[in-house]
Amino acid sequence: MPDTLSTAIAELKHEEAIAMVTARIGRGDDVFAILAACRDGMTLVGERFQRGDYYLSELLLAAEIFKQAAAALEPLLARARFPAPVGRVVLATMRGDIHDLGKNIVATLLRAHAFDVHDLGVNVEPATLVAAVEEVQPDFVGFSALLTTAFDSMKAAADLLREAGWRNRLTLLIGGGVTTPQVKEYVGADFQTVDATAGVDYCMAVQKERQRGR
Amino acid sequence: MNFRDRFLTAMEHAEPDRVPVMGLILDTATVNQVLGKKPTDLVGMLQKPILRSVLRALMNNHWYATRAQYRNAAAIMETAIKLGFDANWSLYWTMQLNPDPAASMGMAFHDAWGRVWEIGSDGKGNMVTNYTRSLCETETQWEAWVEQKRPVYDQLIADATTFHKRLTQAYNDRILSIGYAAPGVFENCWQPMGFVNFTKLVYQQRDFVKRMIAFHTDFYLRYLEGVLQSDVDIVLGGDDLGQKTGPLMRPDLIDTLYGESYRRIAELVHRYKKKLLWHSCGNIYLFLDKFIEWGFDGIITLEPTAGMDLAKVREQVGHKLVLVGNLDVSYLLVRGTREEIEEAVKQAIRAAATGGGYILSPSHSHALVDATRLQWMIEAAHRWGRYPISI
Repeated sequence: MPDTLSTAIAELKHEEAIAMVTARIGRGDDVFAILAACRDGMTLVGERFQRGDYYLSELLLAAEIFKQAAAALEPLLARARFPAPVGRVVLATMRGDIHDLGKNIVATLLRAHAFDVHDLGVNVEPATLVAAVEEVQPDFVGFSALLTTAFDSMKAAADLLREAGWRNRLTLLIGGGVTTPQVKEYVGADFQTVDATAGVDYCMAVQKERQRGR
Repeated sequence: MNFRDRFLTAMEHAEPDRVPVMGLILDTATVNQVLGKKPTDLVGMLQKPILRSVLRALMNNHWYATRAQYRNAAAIMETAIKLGFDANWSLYWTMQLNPDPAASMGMAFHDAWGRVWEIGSDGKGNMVTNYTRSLCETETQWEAWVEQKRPVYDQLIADATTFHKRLTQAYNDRILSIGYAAPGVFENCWQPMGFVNFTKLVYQQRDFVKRMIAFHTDFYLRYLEGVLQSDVDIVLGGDDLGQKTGPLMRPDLIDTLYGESYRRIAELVHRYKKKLLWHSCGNIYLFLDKFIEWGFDGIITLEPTAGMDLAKVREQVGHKLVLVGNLDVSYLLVRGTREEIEEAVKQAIRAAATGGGYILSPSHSHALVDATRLQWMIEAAHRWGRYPISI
């Protein structure tokens, strides 16, 4: 069995990792220390992905392990005093598309990096997106697309955000296999990528700049 | 030179009269645009209870479904001929429309291998289906599924053989019908299980994964042999091994698990003295040398939005692989100007066509690919693709 929880996650030992989380909860370990170990594991996974030792399949499996570990910790986290999130994000697959694999990876990775993520799901109407933004007041909004039929609703949502006075108050990202720099221009987004980890890195870099600016 | 000689000459890495042009899946919207047909609002009909029952009964009826598939394939061939393609791929599939509470419409297509295909619209009034999830998550579920479907698989192979025979007999005097044996072995393993679940099984239940691979390889070879017996000159096989930024799974793992299956597939095609084109979407540079090693004769799509650069690929593989594709469908063949399309065609021909071994085609297909722009692409290929290439 791997020595640490983070190693178990990094080596994709699914059952062992969840067993370790359960055991540490049972022992009364500090919930934030357990969560930090999970995040360290995801960081190791990210490094292996960047190095070319891991590919999409390993990234997804690690994200699934992290998601289950986080779910086990959630009841305890809800009771604990949560440190302020690094940033707030609203994610959606917009109307015309029902795929969410990429969005789910991004959501998990962002949560692993202490972002507060509000995932609106798939086939989201532009008006619903705007309502969520008004409620959550996010730093970032992210659209995920695997079908070209979502482009118009992504643009419509961006336009509505502009009309409502939100566009200049947040950073808009688009991602997914069918997105390109031309689609970014069409939608009016700030950033576009087909790589989930690049999207997460971008959010972290932007937040770091914002912190420096304050 | 006729379309067949042109295509087969290019496949031998020799220079025909001009660069051949090939169509892929031509979506219903493209077919309607070229043939002047109106869309049939199947999605709307499926939302009305009485019509839904009738449609479901028809779609799930073997007699009706096989004829509908052939009619659709024939319309695609007619469209490809009208546009001026030298070849077009043809694909036989089988799915059942079932109630599915987890699907957005409360119903979805389930295919013979355990995939769920959700129903949607292409934005032009036509129904489309997209793979969204799996029906078999455990070893036990998978075993039960394939056991139950054994008669379906036998029927599928028989129907696919008949389908391809009819198409080649009807169209081989006007266009090369390239029989596509699909889905691939890798896709048939992971898609019915779910990708995350499958990855977990690869790492934790390797023996079960090997059994699945053996089962699907056996099926694929039988299916492929049916296609080969339909007198197609070229066979298309495929497995999507890449995504936008790289392989879906570690290349060494793919080779360990699937390499032997792919070798056997290529050997079977060559035993029939045919050529094997291999389809894979995504960024697949790390697999190119493996494709040669496994025995493939050519590769198709070469997605530019996944970073596949035709000149770079040609430099890596030389003339050990025929290259097919690379014309962008995210913008160029959807909204591109005639000048942009002409320039892209010239660039592709310049990068890969000298010495033969290049077939121009879109890098994939979807409903927003515009038939007029396909026409411009073909006209540009005819204008600039004459050998010897002098662009």
